[in-house]
Amino acid sequence: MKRPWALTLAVVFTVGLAAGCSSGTALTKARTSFDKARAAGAETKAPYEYYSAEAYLGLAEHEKEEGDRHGVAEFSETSEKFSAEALKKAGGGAK
Amino acid sequence: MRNRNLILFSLLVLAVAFATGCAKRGLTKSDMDRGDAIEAKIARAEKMGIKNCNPKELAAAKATLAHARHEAAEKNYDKAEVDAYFAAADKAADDLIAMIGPCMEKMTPKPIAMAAAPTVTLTAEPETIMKGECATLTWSSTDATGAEIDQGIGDVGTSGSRKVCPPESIRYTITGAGAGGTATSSATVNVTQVVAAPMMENIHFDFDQSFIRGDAKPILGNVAAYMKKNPGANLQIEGHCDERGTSEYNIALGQRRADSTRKYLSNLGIDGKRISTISYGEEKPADPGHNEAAWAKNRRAVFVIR
Repeated sequence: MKRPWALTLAVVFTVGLAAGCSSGTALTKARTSFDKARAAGAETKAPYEYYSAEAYLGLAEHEKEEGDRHGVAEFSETSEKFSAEALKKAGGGAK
Repeated sequence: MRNRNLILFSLLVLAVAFATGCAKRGLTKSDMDRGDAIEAKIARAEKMGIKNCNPKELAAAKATLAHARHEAAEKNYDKAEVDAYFAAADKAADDLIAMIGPCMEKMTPKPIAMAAAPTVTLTAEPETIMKGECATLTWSSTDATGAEIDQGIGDVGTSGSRKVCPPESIRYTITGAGAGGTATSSATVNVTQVVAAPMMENIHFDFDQSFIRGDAKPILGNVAAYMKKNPGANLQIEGHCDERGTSEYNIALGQRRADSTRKYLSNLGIDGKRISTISYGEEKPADPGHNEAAWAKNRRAVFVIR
């Protein structure tokens, strides 16, 4: 009877770890947003936001290589935020 | 009951795992201070408008600082690595500070140099000519890069002169152009038609006198009228004497007669510059006789239109 307990706890703990620091699709979303901003000409129309998004996306990818999920999530989110601002300033937002 | 405990315990484990899955160590006081100092530099550069000049460098500096802070808060804190990240962020911030000067210079509107307005001057010499004669146009300018004169002359230099022989009175206008605009100046050349000089009567003088007699005044009035109608005409007055007296005396007397005649015409409004005088004394008598009648004819002033 003790085995099911241990197994259950192991599964729950693993799920918890994954959920607690999951970068999920954050990096993918950040890349997509950045690509949209670039396609909208944000590099010239909203350079600060564009280069911020690019810099934080680079950090997110670096953290991914480092295996730092928290870093990936944190920097991906920041990158995506800047991409959204850049896209808005470049006039490429939802119409 | 047992299942309920299992569920509760599982939730507790899940919460712990969730919390520890991404747990962070937190920044030390030293790292917080380092980060704040770098952030202050970046903020100073941003306040000075660096975002307009160097947006890429500003974004990179902020991201580098965020990275340093992130690494400093990691559980597996590597001091050497964190020091390197903060050093990189500090350098990026210093680079931004160094960019402030050039940025402000670039953003400060440059005063527009106001080019001086050009000036041009055109004169004609003489201003009045007889038909068939010529005059000289002379021009000069300041702050002009080019100039042109109308009436078919065209482009000319910014200063110079040119001979013109217009068939009739004409007004020339020069237009000078430069960075500061354009300017014009005009000069008129008056052309007078050649009018056949009338046979002007001589005037006569009393013996050894040079004053203008009453009978001479209507004649001088006619001479003055002709000169006014013909501003391009010039007049020479010859002074003559009878044969009595020495030649030297008569030369002087003839000159006085010519001078008094010119003065009278000047008083009638004829420019003295248009009148020249000469004395022939007794050398050119109108009548070769040796009597009073001949002498009276010879004491005279003769008008020659030139």
